[in-house]
Amino acid sequence: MIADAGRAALLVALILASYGVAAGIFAGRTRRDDVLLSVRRAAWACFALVLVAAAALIASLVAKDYSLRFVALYTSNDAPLNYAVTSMWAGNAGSLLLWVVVLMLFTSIVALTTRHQYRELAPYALAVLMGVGVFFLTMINFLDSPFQRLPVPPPDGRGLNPLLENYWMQIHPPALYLGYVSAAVPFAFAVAALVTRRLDAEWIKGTHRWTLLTWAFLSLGNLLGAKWAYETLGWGGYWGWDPVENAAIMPWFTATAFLHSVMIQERRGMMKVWNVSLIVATFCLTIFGTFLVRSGVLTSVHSFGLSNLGPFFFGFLGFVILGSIALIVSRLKDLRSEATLDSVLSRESSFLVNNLLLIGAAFAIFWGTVYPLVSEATRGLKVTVGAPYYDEVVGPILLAIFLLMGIGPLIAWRRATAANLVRNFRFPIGVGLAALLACIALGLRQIPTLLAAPVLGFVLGGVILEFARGARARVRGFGEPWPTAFARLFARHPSRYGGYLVHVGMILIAVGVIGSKVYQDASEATLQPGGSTQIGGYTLRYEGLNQTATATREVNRATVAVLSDGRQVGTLYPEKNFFPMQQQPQTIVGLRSTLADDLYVVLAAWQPSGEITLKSYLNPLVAWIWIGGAVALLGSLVCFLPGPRPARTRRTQDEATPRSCDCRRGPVTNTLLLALAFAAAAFIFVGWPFFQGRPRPQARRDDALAELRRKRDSIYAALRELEFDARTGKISPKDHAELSESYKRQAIALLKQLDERTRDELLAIDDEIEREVASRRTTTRRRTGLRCVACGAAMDASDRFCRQCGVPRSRSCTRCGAAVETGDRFCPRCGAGL
Amino acid sequence: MLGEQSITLPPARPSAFVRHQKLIVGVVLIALAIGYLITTSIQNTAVYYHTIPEIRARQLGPTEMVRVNGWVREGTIEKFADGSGARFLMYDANDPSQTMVVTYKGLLPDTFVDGSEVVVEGKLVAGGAAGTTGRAPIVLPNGSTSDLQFEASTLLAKCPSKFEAA
Repeated sequence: MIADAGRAALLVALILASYGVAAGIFAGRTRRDDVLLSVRRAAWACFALVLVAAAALIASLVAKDYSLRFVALYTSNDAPLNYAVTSMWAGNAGSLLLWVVVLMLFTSIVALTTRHQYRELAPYALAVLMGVGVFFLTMINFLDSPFQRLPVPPPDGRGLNPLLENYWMQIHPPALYLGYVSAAVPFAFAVAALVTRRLDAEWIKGTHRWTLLTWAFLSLGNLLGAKWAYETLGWGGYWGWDPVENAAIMPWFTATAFLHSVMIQERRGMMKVWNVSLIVATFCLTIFGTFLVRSGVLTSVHSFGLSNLGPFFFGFLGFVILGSIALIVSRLKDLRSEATLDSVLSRESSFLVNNLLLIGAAFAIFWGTVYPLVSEATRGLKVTVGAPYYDEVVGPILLAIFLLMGIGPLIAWRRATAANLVRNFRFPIGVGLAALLACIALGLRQIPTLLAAPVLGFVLGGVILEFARGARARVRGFGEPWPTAFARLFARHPSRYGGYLVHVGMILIAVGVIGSKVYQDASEATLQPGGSTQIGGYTLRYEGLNQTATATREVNRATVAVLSDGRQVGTLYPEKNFFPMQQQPQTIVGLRSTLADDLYVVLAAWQPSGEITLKSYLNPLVAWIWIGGAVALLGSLVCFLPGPRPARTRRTQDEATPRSCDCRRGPVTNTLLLALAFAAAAFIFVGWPFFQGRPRPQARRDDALAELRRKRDSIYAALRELEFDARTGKISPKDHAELSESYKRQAIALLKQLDERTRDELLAIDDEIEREVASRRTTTRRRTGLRCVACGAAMDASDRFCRQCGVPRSRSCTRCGAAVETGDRFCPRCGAGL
Repeated sequence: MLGEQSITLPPARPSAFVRHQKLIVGVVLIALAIGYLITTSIQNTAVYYHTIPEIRARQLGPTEMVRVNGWVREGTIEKFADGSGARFLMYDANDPSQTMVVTYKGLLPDTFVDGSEVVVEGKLVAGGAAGTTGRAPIVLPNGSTSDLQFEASTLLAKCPSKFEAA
């Protein structure tokens, strides 16, 4: 019954999504507001329906309804509640359903937030999002349904794989999915902007914030994935360049590139084609990642096994790529740059190089990932590359990216001069050299360290300098105390200082990665109880083995005391367990994490005699990866702050509540009836706008005017930034004067244009006033009661002739109002001339 | 005659290529550097990815590292008591009669169980087109053996997590 509801909901959701695509395009072409409202409602109804489906699947998992294949495969009688719920994303069908839920959530948010803005883009953006939804809904309806039945329900499920019964596993897939799916929103806006040729600043503004969200979720998903691998897989590392990991990191690189190059477009109107392409690439890479784990084309540690979905994904991906390229090429004229690069030594060109390197890194990873397929296709031989390839290629590229991360913030927009370069680079280079000397003095003389230390020091020095100068400028300029000045930096320039915070996070991650990669120590020892072994500065003393067994799990837990300088600093309990039902071993790592190093102990084998083999790793500085990740995420949150001019978006929830019926019939009939019920509810909800009568034609906003205002705002922002740069001493007074002059000239030109536009508006208002006055006059006239003798039209007291027929007014005197004859020349009462 | 008057023409705007010369050179240099890095690194680190019939057919150098994909035959896993590795019989996905004895030294991943799909990387120590090295073939505890003997330095077992086995 519950499953029937889920099945029905998915079916109706597919129909609604298809309707949404068609109606969205129609609304875009005809600009009909009622159709657009109906599309929004379709999005909300779709979200409600997939939520119903997800709830039905979770309810079936919790209720252990083994008549469903998915439930029988991924949960069992002894599964606790939380694992019963999270087993939703343990299998292909359930995880695709999660994908759709997240997609529809974002689509609904887009439908909500575009009610008062992006009027022209919204219909197409919604159509694109619904189109992506159609693709995924088709798959979970017809190709791999989570509600597929088993002819004979088994008494117990096969159970979730014990390897997945892990805290990190519960949260890491949803986090990554949020990142993957949110990439569809910028893509949808990009397509909408291309279709409507509205490639101005408007779409890029909205897309920037969404991409920030995508970036944050992708970072979170990747970090949690690394954490999961580190704590549960038991090989002592957190990143293995597995195809699935590569698939998750590639869109991260392209999104990072976009977040930098979009600043150039916002400021200078340049690199439009490049930015659109980055958005498309990010979306395609997320689809590629989803495809990779399901297609079985590449061998990976975690794939969904061979499934029949590969060709569909491939077709969809091909359609998206070819369609986007065709769309971009057909709009090249609309994507022309508004400005050209002023100087090679400018922040623009440093962003350009940084973009190139980020894309280079993404491409190198992509090439390594698909190399087996490429070599098989071209040479008939499958050749693979492993971790050494990625380390060799991506390592140097990342080093160069870090170098630019240091340079970029220190050089000014448009043009930097040698003098201010020296001024700005002195301190960071000093910090870099100090870091290098410190490493040499500490005896850390490995080549990766010697290369990375000065670069990371340089970046850090630059960030410190930026914060110090910014805060000092506020202290001097506004007389704020230092802490306030420091905090206000984030509030006043969120994207700038939030970005720097992300950079600090990246430095910390780099420190952690280099520490654990270059200085990892591993040892293996077979020990009797009481025996001990050494690793790094630690002594591990094996205290004893504790064995317990239940019907479902055999636990072998070793107690290992950790000693440092003869003093016990901790105890670790590495486990090697076995699940007889699934014939599945499980390793639980004994982990002692400190800021300096992680002690990572794995129970490799045990004997009934109590003898054990311990494999232990000493991973220096790993904790800084997680700390750096947290700092970077915090930074991206700061970037998300609205800044000095708050951009308000109203959020209210508005959803259809589908009803259920409780008839007891066969599953097919049930599904059909429920589907009809859902469809009816959805039909009323979605079709409602059409029954409201013709909507009042809304005054179209003057888009050109809005565009001018946005340009004015961006020049104001650039001016503000320039003033700030001047106050922090980043640019010379001469350059400041020159640039400020040019910005002001641009601003004046824009303001003039704006005035002209608004003058038209004012004239329109004048007309309005005239009309109003005229109509008021008519009513007053009616009140005076004077009428023309010939035609009977209303007359004013001051009218001497009738406005309608030209007959002279004759019934009353103009001065005293006394009745007069038509032929009279003077008023018979007061003598006034008529 | 124009006399005193001289006509000053606005300076011709240089083409995009000339204006961005330095930048274009830089961009090309970076692209070339990345391309060079990728190609040399692939040459240095790439390993062939074979199936069991393929390594039987191919001349493999005694030290050449290859990757082989296959499945673990049920009941053939022999774990070393000290936890230092395992031996097992691997068979080809398409032709289960094609087998190979794999000796792996290293930590066993939890995903490595009877019947799981594995990828091993290492070298062939006996058998194949290159001939045998004269070592006696290893016989697994359940009596199964193969003329192909492989020493693996890495073992990758597919995570059955999301593995639809039914």
